[in-house]
Amino acid sequence: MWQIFKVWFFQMSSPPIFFTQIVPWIRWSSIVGGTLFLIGLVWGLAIAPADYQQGNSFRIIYIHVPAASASMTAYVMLAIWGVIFLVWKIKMVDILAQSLIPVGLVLCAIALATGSLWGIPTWGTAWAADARILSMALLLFLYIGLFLLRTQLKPLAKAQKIASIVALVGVLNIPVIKYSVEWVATLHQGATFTVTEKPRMPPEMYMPLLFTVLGVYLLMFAWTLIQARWLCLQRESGKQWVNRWVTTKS
Amino acid sequence: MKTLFAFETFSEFLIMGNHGFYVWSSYGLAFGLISLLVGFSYLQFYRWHNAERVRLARLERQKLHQQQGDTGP
Repeated sequence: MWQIFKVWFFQMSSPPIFFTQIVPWIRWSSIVGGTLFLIGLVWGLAIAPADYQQGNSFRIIYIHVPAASASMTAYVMLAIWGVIFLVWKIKMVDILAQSLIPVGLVLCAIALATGSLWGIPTWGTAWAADARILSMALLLFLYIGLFLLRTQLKPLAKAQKIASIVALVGVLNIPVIKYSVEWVATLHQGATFTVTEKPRMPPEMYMPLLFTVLGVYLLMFAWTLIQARWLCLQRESGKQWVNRWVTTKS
Repeated sequence: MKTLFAFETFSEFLIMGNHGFYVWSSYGLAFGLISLLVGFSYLQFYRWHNAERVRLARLERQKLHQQQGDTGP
């Protein structure tokens, strides 16, 4: 089993093999992710009961939590891939990291913007100097920094190295975001889900949330792979297999 | 009558007890940002693909000319 995985891993770290072998993964994760997300969305927006305290504004949770959670997970992935790239210099890992940054950036922006819109009817303010909100804003700046490094800094080798280091250092912010609602008194409410405890919501409210969270994770996975395929072609441009693809696909 | 839905009418669903603006603008913003991401990424790739195709076609033409011993006008 381990041997099979090892062979698969080594094969997948070659761009031309990744380019063709990854297609079914993209197809299935986007179909399943899209379906789960749509079911969760309809369920959460139209079927779940209104919150006794927050009324219908709580329905923002079905996009706010998946976006925030996925953007944090994406950052952790960037840090892990950063270490792998710095140690082993696997180019496929760096292609994946570069593909994930814009997705993480957009998800982080969605989390902040929807949080702000949720804050107006619930807290009476769109912005507060609160531990959770500030640490999430820092994550957004880290993503913007990484995005600019990747798109503006030349040569490529330098951008790869610096972006990997920034991703690695910035990951210290993730536990701060995660535990900010427990360590200090914040305006932001506590975690809805934890792995070890019962959810603090009735099932008719948290089941749709589970669906949208899973859906967003799968869609993020699919889009990152699509971008990674495109980036494979661009990074390897001039090689025989890329030329063949470019001339046959129109 | 109790239905499956949390709202009795469609306009109630849109108004969402005066929270409609916040809920719908959240989802609108989210989908807008995602569309921007997908659109820009696709456009960037499409431009690269086009430029690359043009470059390869030119190379192919040059090769053909050289093979025919054509030195040009």
